[in-house]
Amino acid sequence: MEKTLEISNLEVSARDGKKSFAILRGINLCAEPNQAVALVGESGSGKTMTAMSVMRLLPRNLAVDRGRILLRGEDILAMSESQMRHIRGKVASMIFQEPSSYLNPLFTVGSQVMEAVKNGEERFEKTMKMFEDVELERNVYFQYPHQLSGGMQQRVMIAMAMINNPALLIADEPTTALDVTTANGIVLLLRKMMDKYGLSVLFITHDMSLAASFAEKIGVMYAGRLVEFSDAAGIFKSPLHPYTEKLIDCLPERYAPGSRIRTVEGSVPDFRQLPGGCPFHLRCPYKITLCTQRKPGPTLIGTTTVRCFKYGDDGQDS
Amino acid sequence: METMVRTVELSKIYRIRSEKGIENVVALNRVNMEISRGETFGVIGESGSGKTTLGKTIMRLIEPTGGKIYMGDTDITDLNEKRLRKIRGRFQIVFQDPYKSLNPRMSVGAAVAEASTGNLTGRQRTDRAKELLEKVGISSRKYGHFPHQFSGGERQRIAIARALSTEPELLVCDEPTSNLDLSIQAKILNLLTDLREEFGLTYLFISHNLQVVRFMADRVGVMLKGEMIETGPVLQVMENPVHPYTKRLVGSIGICRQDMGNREMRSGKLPGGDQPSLG
Repeated sequence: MEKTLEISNLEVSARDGKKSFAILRGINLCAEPNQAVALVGESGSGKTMTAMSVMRLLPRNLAVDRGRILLRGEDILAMSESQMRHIRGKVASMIFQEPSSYLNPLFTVGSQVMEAVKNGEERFEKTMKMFEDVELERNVYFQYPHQLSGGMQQRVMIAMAMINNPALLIADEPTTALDVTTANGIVLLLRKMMDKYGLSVLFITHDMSLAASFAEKIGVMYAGRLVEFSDAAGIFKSPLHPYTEKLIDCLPERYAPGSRIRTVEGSVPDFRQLPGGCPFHLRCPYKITLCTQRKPGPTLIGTTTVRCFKYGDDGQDS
Repeated sequence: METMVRTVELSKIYRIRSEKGIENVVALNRVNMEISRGETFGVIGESGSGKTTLGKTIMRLIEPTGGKIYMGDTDITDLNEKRLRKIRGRFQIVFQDPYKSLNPRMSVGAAVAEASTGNLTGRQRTDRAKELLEKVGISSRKYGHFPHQFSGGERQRIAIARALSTEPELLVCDEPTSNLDLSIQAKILNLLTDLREEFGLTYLFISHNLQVVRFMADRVGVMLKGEMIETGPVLQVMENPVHPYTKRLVGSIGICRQDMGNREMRSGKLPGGDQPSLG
């Protein structure tokens, strides 16, 4: 079956005057239809920039240098801006962390959802049906964003993103600003939409537990690299990359009350000053000399792709 | 055990003008709570449940409309500004957003030194601020740096140093790690644990993250619509919640933890391993 999303060897750089910095390097991931793929990692690891590359919405000073992004088999990097307009919303759409910033306060939420429906169709009926799908009452259609709670606003965003039945929904921290019970509702709704419409979801979060419970696949990002891409089911049991292991170690739920959490030393390196070799070597407990000299290429272990010399020295990397 | 802070029927009612005329919004509804010295008391609940209002009211940053607040034996409910100021140093607060809680135009060293209490010379104040910065893991060489030169985690450390400068007994932590990354959160939680031991601090720890509260708190109070609907030892509340709302809240951790339960726990058992999974 054709994959919904396939990213191969994606490289993105930022330009600052004459200088150029690597933002994303060697991103390889794919999402099957009806599959959820989570991207996890700390702030500044490149999760959102990966998503923005897929939407072709990168900030002006960032550009794709190399690589391929296929959406349902079509290479979107080769497309013109006007072709992209037929992709956004219809093949891939996106929701964000703060729904209130993406809703116009001056219009009813219903009209904002309906805006994306083509003339001629039964616009109102279609919008109403979508409201039903996202479990909002009909009268919400006539309400303004400020009258809705954060959870309801996020449901409106989902309705807006889903109204043209895309194959891929990118959800960038959709639950981070929400309470636990509300967040749960949103995650369950996403799962329901996936099952109903065969939708694939690229789910961006920094919450490892949420990622593992929601998604089938997890990609762990560090300093613009996908250091591990693995089945979600096994990641807590057997994390392969040292960074994944460290991230899981930071979860307070893994410790008895009052004990000490084993933290990761140091902090995420600045994109402008990435160290040579593996970007994680400064904080890595398993560091060997090789790590400071070369960047590890991808190694396939079972169904997991990992970039670490612990697992051999196969793939040569740029 | 000695009581550090106690509230009796603490209430806060806001009167707001709406389309329907003047309405009463109950932010705190007769909250009775007691925290012993040296204890960490967690407060959980969703946004709008009154967690932050409770923390701020205890600090007297919000004036209650009813009830009493006792700090030790002292009734601080009606203390005037002057007398309140005298004992304010005993209780301090650390806010959620370290980007908003530090003055951008003041060096972090000066911000910490400014709050120091006691009859200190300028030099002594500076030394003490440096010492506090080191305590929270900020190099004292960064004394003259400004807030924008620090990351979120570092700023939160500075906010903690500033709170400590008055030698408080009670520290109200209002979602201190909610804006921080996982690895930074872990470090801040470790820091708070260390400081509690070193200074014998009592914490009122407010968070919507149940796992963080489980890890930090001895006892926990659950808030819903301004009321504290359940209190108890944290493990008891998390494992055997009584109130239907608490059950729903604890259930909504809602993560298939079976993956994690299987991995060998380094220290102690993971409670709630049989939580319902999603879907």
